[in-house]
Amino acid sequence: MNCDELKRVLNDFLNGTLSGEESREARRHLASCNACVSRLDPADRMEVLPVLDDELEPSDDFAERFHRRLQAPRRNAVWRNPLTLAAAAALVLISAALFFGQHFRGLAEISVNPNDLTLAEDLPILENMAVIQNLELLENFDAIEKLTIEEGEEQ
Amino acid sequence: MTKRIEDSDARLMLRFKDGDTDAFELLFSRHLRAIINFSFRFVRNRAMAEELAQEIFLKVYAGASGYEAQAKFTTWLYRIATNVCLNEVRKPRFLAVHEPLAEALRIGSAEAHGDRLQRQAVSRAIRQALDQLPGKQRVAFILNKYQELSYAEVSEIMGTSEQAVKSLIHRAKETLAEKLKPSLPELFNL
Repeated sequence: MNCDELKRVLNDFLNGTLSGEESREARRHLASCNACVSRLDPADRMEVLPVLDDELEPSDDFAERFHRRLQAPRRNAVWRNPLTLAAAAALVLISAALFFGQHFRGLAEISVNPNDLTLAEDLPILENMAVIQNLELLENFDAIEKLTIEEGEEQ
Repeated sequence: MTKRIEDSDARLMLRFKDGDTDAFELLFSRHLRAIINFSFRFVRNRAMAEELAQEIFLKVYAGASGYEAQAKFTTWLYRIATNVCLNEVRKPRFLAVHEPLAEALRIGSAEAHGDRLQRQAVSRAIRQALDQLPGKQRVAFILNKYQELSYAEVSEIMGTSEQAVKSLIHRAKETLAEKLKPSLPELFNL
């Protein structure tokens, strides 16, 4: 595009009604012609900025990296979403609150006998589950004594 | 001519929706450069711009099942791209303090041993001026001037009227001229 051609299309160009290709040519001409650009007011000179600005070329491995990401499991993308993470964290907290809430409420309802605490401290020693399951029998001293007598009589 | 290309894009997207992955590859290679450069106008960093471009194309890929050819493909594409880029620049790491424009160009001129360095300095000054535009003005200016989309397309992407888009671009040009005022002689070799 030369200066005369630009003059003919300048109004359409500034009004944004020029086609894409013509608009591009007008912009290129303005960027290279001080005479034409100096006739524009400062705001309209900003039309030229895209021509003066840098353009990037895609990196050589851009497509390859993109296809790798396409094939990557989607769950990574899901967990990278802060909203998903926040929702998951909230769910864990609510579950924990419900669990511990019930647990501690259950504990509070138990009346604790100091003797039970002593027994509870000894529980790890009683590795034999049969013993633990029959603790009530061990507390029934009359029955134990009777068993001993019966054994003696048998002998 | 532009209309035929746009229709061709929409047809490719519909073919991809029906399972033709070659159609997606064509769309990908056709718009790749434009989308990387669009992202670059927002984040000013090649690695980040490419990362955002990948994110945009992943969304295009994933969104194929819901695609309807009611609007131009580029309208749909740039609506996704605009959302991705604006979400990124709203993150705290992009709200850094800006170097004064005049300073950027002065340093550039002092360093300018050749056209390439001078061009880099000019580019840096332009990008800084764009960064300082209010969000909507910036989006409208970039879509219309850099991506060469019509006012109608920009208005559809931004969900506003054409008149509002014209007004945003007009104000963007005035703001840019004001920001770049001290640098105009260097910018245009006047």
